[in-house]
Amino acid sequence: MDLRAQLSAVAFRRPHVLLAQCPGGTGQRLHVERALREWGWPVAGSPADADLLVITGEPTGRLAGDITRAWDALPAPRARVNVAWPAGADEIRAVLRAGHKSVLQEAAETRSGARRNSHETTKRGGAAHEDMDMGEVDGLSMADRADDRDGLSLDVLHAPLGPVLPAWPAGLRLDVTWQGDVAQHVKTVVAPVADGLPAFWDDPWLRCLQGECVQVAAVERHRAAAHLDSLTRLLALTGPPGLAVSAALARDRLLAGEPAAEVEPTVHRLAGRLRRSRLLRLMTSGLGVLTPGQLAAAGVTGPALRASGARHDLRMADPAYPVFEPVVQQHGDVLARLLQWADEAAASLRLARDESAVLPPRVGAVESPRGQLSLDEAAPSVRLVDLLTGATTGAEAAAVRLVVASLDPDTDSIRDGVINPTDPDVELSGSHRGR
Amino acid sequence: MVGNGPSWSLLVLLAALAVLAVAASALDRALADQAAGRTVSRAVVLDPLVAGLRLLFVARRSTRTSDGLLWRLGAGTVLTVPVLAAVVVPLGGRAVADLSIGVVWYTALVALLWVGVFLVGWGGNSAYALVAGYRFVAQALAYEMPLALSVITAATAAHSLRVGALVQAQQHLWFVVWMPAAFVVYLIGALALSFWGPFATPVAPDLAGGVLVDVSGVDRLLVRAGQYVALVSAAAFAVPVFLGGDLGPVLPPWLWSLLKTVAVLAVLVTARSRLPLVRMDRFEELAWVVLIPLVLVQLLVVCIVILATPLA
Repeated sequence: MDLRAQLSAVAFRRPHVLLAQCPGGTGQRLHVERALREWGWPVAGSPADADLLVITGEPTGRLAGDITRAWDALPAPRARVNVAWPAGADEIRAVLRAGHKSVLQEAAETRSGARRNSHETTKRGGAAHEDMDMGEVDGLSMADRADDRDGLSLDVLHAPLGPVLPAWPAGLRLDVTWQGDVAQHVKTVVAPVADGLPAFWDDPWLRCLQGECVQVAAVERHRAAAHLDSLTRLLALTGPPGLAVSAALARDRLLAGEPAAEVEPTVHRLAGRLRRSRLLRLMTSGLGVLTPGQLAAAGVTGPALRASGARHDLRMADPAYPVFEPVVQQHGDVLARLLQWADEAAASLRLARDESAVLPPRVGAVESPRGQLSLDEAAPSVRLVDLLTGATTGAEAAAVRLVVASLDPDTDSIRDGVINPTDPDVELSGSHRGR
Repeated sequence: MVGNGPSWSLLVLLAALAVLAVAASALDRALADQAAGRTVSRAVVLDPLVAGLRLLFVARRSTRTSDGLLWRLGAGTVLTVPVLAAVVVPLGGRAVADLSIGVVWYTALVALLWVGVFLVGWGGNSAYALVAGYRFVAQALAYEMPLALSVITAATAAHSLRVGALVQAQQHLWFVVWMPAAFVVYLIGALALSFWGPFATPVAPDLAGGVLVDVSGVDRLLVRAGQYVALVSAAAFAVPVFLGGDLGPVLPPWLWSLLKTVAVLAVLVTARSRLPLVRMDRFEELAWVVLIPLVLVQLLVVCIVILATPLA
């Protein structure tokens, strides 16, 4: 019907997009986010609110299955697009527009009587028994009961966090056993990066370690953009939505090549507003405290370590950074890590003012946005992933999200087989060779 | 002065609530557009209607072993309760029903929102929706007492629970001038009862949309529209209770009511982008230990003033 086609064209002129991020897709994800922001297409919080599923990176391990489940949960009219690598900004926008067209086509065709109703199991209790006299309803058994931390007997729910979740590291999945809203047991599962996909955020430092000469200004701008990206995700969960958008805008301006001197005032203002916000301080201070001892034992370096008070930054001993004072916070809580990112981004942009300084190729380790990076050791994000189980067990739902977002491991840099093999609660799901 | 309106006043109320809810949503979108660096066109006024149209096209989801009746009922409750609560709000001197217990009517009805939001969270048989439903209950426990006490403070000053009498009692001085703490607490309660802005944890992105995680189509439209109508209803109720109703110098009374409502609504809507999310594990204690004593002290001051000044 022409009227239906016209009305649906108006109704879906800005489709809601669900981003399914896979490891190795950071570059694409940044282009997609920028396009969505410019066009005003809202980012959906869950499949129920989405029209278009956008997959960035390459699904590996169990990720493909999880993405299929998310796809099944999208209500009609829906469409699905893959943004593969390599793809430039224009190609990505063309792909998104093609997805939009598919949504419009389906919206115009679907007759109201044939509305697809998706049945989605989102609450599974205990272990699945086949016994009929265990009180089954529709094939689902009753939830098991177990003692919680206060000794009360509460229902046990198994509901995972991720991998298709807004403001969440790509390809990460926490299999959580909930009692009430407290995570009693957490198992971390990471999907490995598929072969050949780049680690976007670590790129300049990897090139430096592999023998290239890179400009300090370019390196520090990249670091500032990485911190602003992490900050955007954390602010999407905690802080004022206005500041989350502001951080995303600053990040996009840096990645688009704008001079550091022009972006620096914005970032400085952002850091100031975050520090002065008393309500933000009330909500996030004292949450997810990680002491320097804990972090050092786990081998964590970088902003997470500096936020707990340890003055550890490889740039201090680096001749390419003559006068370098590391940014350090206290307390090591979520607020400290938030402010650490903001302050380090501002400091990096100050360092990036000097266009002439050069970082010669080096052997050993360099300070990357997530921590100490070297070619013969595991990536710093692996240490962060190892921390997740311990830092989130026993925390309640909001705290789990905030702790993960404040550590923000970069799953692009987690290659096959380097996750701690002795910890049963951390797993690399499948191998990149067999999906 | 203020009394019952003619029989068609209910239609006027519905129309006013609808227009103001759309305006609130349009304002929020315009602010978001501006913050994101997009150009704000005049078509943003129609965006809420387009969003509603989209939700009418989207398929309605169901989940396994959900409590269908209570789930859908919860969504419907979130929309109808604020409309019912607003019948005591006068526009230009006339309310749909100027009940002798108008203040209690309003407070009691917005408490029914607890039922609506919790049922939306519980009915879908979904873990995150349930957690978010309980978040709203915790939030309700935090805001309800301060909100009720702030409204009681105004009613005490007017010696009546009838909204019309509250407006009449503000002829010489608006209540907001000499009970500002109560007004601020009322605004906090207004944000919390419509789970808007800093108090949006029941629908927050950290639980993938909270109570709305599995809700789509018409049900989502009902809850979202109900959220905006609750905001409008709370803003509209603040006007006769604290801001002198339709009293004002030059313009016609109904225009004054409208302008004041729009002003309060604008304050409530802009609070979303400027304030961080408030979690109840940190705020609950604050609400009971700081806000309630604050309002009680305000109530004490009001009582002393009333006893000290002779009745007009």
